[in-house]
Amino acid sequence: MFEIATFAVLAALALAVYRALSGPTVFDRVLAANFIGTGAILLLALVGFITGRPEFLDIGILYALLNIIGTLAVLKFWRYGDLSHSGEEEG
Amino acid sequence: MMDTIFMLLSGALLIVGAFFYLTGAIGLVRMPDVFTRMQASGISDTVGVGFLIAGMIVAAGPTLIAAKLAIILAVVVFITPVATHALAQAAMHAGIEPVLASPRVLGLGAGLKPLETKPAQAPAKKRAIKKKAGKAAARPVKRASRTKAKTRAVAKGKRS
Repeated sequence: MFEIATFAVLAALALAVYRALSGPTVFDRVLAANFIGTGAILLLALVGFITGRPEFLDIGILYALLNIIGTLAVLKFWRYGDLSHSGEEEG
Repeated sequence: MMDTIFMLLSGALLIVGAFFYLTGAIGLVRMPDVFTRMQASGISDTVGVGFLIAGMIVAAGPTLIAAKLAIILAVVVFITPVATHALAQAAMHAGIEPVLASPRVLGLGAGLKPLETKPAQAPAKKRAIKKKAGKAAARPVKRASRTKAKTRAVAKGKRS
């Protein structure tokens, strides 16, 4: 069962990679990157179960926290062109 | 006995989760614009991840591993909507308009792009939709609704 789920997640990640490479706008690419991040967490957990090494789950938690930071950083950079921008709208 | 039941339950949960995860990924590839793709990836990030991690929790039993998996599930469930919301807001701010199926659906004529899935059929389709939109704008609203009701009645008659 873990193997079937792993292959399904791998297929989903392949589709997401296709979307990330061919996405017409940058937002498609960011969405696909977010999807790939979630898939990487699941893949870590499933591979940890298959190989009997549950230490991978800690790395999964780390990836989950890095995922949102990366997404928001890319979006902020795309919008303001600068990560140190205060975020206020320019009049 | 209990072990077999738990293994079967976790297997079923994993299969269901894998199915929904794959469904969301297919939607991510096939949907026409950013916003619908967000909706498709939402399937994967809620139902898919939920069932997969639930299956792993059942397989792990009441251990530290299950607690860590629950933490991962909570983080994903709370953080993915935030990322999606930020993404939608950024896309709207960048001036990307949602693609609608037809301008007549919302009763709005101008400023909405018709759906184009296949580039081969695009020119003919575009012309037809434009014609339709022009007719709808010219026609009084009452008559449009009457024709709609008529087509509905015809469809019903065909079905029965």
